[in-house]
Amino acid sequence: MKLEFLPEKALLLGDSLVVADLHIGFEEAMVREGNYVPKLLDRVVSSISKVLKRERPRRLVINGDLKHSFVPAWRERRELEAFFDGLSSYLGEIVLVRGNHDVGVGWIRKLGVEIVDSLELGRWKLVHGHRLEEGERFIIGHEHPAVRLRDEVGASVKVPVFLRGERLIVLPAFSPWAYGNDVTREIVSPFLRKFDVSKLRVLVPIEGEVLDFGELGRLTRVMRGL
Amino acid sequence: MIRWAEREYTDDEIFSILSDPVREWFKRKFGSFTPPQRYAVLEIHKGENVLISSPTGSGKTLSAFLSAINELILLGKEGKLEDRIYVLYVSPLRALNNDIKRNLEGPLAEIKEVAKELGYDLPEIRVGIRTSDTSSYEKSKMLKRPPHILITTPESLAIALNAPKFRERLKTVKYLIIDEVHALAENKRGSHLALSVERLQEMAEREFVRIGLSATIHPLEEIAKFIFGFDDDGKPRPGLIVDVSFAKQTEIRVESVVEDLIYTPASVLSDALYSRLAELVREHRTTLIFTNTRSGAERVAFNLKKRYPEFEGLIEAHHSSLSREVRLDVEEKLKRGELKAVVSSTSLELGIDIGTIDLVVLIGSPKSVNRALQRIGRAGHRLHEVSKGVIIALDRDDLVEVTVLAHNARNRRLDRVKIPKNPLDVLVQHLLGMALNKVWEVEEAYRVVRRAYPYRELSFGDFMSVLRYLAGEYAGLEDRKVYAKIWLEEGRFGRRGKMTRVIYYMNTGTIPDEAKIRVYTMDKRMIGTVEEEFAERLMPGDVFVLAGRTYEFIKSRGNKIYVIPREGAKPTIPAWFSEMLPLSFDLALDIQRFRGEAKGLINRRDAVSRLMRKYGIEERAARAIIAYFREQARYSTVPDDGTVLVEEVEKEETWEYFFHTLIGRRANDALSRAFAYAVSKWKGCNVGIAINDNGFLLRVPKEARLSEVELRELFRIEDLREVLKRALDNTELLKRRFRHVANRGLLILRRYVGRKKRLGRQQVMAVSLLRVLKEDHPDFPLLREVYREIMEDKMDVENAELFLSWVREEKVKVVVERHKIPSPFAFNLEAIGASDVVLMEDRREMIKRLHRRIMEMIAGES
Repeated sequence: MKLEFLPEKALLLGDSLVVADLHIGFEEAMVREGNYVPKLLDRVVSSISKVLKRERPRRLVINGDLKHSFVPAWRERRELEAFFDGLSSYLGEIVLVRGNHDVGVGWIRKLGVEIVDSLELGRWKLVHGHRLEEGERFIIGHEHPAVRLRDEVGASVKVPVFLRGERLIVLPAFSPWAYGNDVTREIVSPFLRKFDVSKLRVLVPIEGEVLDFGELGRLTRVMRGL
Repeated sequence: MIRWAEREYTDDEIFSILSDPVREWFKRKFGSFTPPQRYAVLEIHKGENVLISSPTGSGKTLSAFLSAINELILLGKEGKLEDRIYVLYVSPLRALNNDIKRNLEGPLAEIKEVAKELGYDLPEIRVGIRTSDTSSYEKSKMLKRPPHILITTPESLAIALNAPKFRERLKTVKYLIIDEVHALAENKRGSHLALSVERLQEMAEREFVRIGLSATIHPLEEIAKFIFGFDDDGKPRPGLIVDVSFAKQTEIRVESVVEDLIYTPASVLSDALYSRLAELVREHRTTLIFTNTRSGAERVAFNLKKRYPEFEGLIEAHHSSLSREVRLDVEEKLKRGELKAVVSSTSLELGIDIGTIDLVVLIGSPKSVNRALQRIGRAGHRLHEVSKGVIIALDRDDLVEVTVLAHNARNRRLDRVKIPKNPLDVLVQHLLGMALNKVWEVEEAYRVVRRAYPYRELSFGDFMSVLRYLAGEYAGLEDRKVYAKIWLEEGRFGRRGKMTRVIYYMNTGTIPDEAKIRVYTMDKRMIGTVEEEFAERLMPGDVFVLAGRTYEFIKSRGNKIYVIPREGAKPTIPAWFSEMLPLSFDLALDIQRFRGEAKGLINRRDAVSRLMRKYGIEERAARAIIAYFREQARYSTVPDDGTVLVEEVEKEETWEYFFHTLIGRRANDALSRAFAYAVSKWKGCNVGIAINDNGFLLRVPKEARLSEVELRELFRIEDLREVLKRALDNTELLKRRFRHVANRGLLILRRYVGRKKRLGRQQVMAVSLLRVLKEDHPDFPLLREVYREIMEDKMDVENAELFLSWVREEKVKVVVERHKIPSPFAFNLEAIGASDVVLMEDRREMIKRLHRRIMEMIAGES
């Protein structure tokens, strides 16, 4: 099955487009706590729409954490409605692989969204990644993987990354709010503890292309010298 | 009009206004008045606003309180003392509040005793403390029966102004005393307090008398205006300045512990330092030693005891990281004269009475004349005693610096303070606080705000932009109600939203949160803490310094990081978050002139003796300076008030450019970033920066080498402010400072309904907000504030501009040289490592460049 890593932080797997960790409603949750937060939902919608139009996949898979709040709230529901409304011109199938944040989302079935705990596509098993599952080859989200890059003059920038191995693929968080977890320092998902992280290839999506930084272990070693 | 107090009243004149028990008590206890008391007590009694600047141990606190106490006793005697607050005392040092309370309650009890002897009973005069430590039970007691004298902090005062019932109690204040003004005026805590005071005045029953107390600070006219405030015509409120900071004699000596500060090995230098310290400690009864850092204080105390067992139990360290019990214990021992020496960082600089000290030693430059005088002033407790101070320089630049600093201190050439202007984030808090209390006419609120010194020139447009932000007008229309904390209609504004009051209480204040990450060894022993932002940048294998030792970072788990001790390993990551004390621009210029002078001396045979004579330094110090300058002259050029030296040095991976611009760290900060931005634009690369007081260093990749023409071109930057503003984009500094401003401006809340929010999350919100605001609302008040704060408060863009104009007018010429290794004057800059990086503006190109570079290295490795 064809496997293509897209600069929009999405993965093309055969005729399915896979994204993870959208955390819709994050802004509402922050506003509820009294903060002044601009809404970025429009960007999320237009970014996905653009890829859908270009790649024309038969299926859109959201690999967990479609939404943010653990406590369902009507404002969040309104945001989710706006999100799916924004995708209404897409006529393919939409599947949500349930993540740990996706509580109380049963109602989106009415919008034509299928909800599953895991999904097998070709030889790959798609799960969100917050708990271990039986299987051979996985595609997960949950980790919000990022790597901090350095250069010889002391610059240091953290970038979201794909991690790619023979038996494990980790997607970067799609949400523009994601802080990014530096995987050279600490890992969150139990999957990453199970597999040898140092052998995973680091793919950095930037505008218009994806850069291959090679294996994580070697990358870390080289940057230590800087 | 603000006048200088000229009349020194006699004992009899002052005694004549005191009621019998106060007079009798004072006569028995002190006999006679000290200079600040002679100038101030009667004036305060007459109702004048007074700013008192005087050294420690001069009876400053009592000069502020005496008139008020006298009045309270008088009222008590006549049976007219009511249950209300007469005196409000505000100090930024919460730790000192208990001392002040004790120092008031003691005399009050003694006066009561004296009154009894004289045959009458006085009612009790109550002293209360209200800070964040005060329990709600005590607060409610205070509400029912208010203290006559209330002691508080700036933050607690702001909250009290909004306490629905307690604020009524504050309306009766007759005397307002603000202590430690020098520790407030220069920062946003001071701006915050200035607004609180005007809000208090606005609600008070009468104009209260304002009394400011300050250590040596300059210029006093500005500080007086800061304390007294302005009237509605924009004229400063009248008052008097009492300056008795000259009253105490100081004697300052500068020493170098070795002949040659360039080639002496570190171990020989520290042997010499400790043997000299031991000598000084032995020769004096009690010595107070200041280092500039807490770990330094620990190290010096430890080493003195280890090397000289005779001092065991007689020398202690004292700094703010130690527990309160330990500090109090040290202070008590000091007061009882049981210690030979105490080693402190800054904690003993201010406040508390520490008994009799006969010598103060400063290790390393205190960076400012004012601070030097403050520290040395702790010696010779009584006013007529001479304060003796020794400054020991440990490196070459330090020695030059303290030589000039001591010279200026002897000649009373003080550093000027800089008071922040129109900080809009602080204004947000107070406008919200005001709206919580009542409905305001916009014009009326604007008048109140402009009475506070920092806002005296605030434009109506800026004022309105803050109100509009609070009213949610910058948010999208549909979200307005959610964000809005006030309503603003038809020239009036008031509170909106149920949670607004809680938000104000929990988020008021100006000191930013810096989350600490705990550092553990692999066997789970805690070593200390580092700042979250520092911890975040570490990568496994990085070596860094903590509390004077080196450690290798292994991994992080939640809010902890794990390390392995690596004794003697060279740190790979500089600890660039510890903000160092900056050298003032004025002092920096004097050091430039000194360099010019020393340059003229190096070929003379009497160079050493001339230097000794003019600057009053000992021979060894003079020799070390002359040797340093000769060394520099032989190798390169001595930069001075007419010459800027730029050196190019080739390193393994980079080119380094040393700019010897001796204009102080704050101005260098502004200049270096603007230069780095220009280079980044020209060459399409990231540029590393290192900054100190004497200059800065730019570090560029090999392919981005600069020509002499390009180096000269940098000094011709036209619009420094604009270039600097662009240079700040994408820097960690801007992101961090924006979080601070957003916190203060209630854009991102630090606390909400009892929960403290994770810094990482606050930071990510700050970064996104910054991006969105820059695109949609470039005039957003808090966005403008963050640039102002960085450029004017943290940096010194004004003097950087001034310096560039000197180069343009050719008062200063630029000399470019290429060297194999950096010249002696550049050593310290080289040792800093990195301060920050100006990243390429185009993020995509930057990552692509990193990619090319890293792939080359990976290829080279295998």
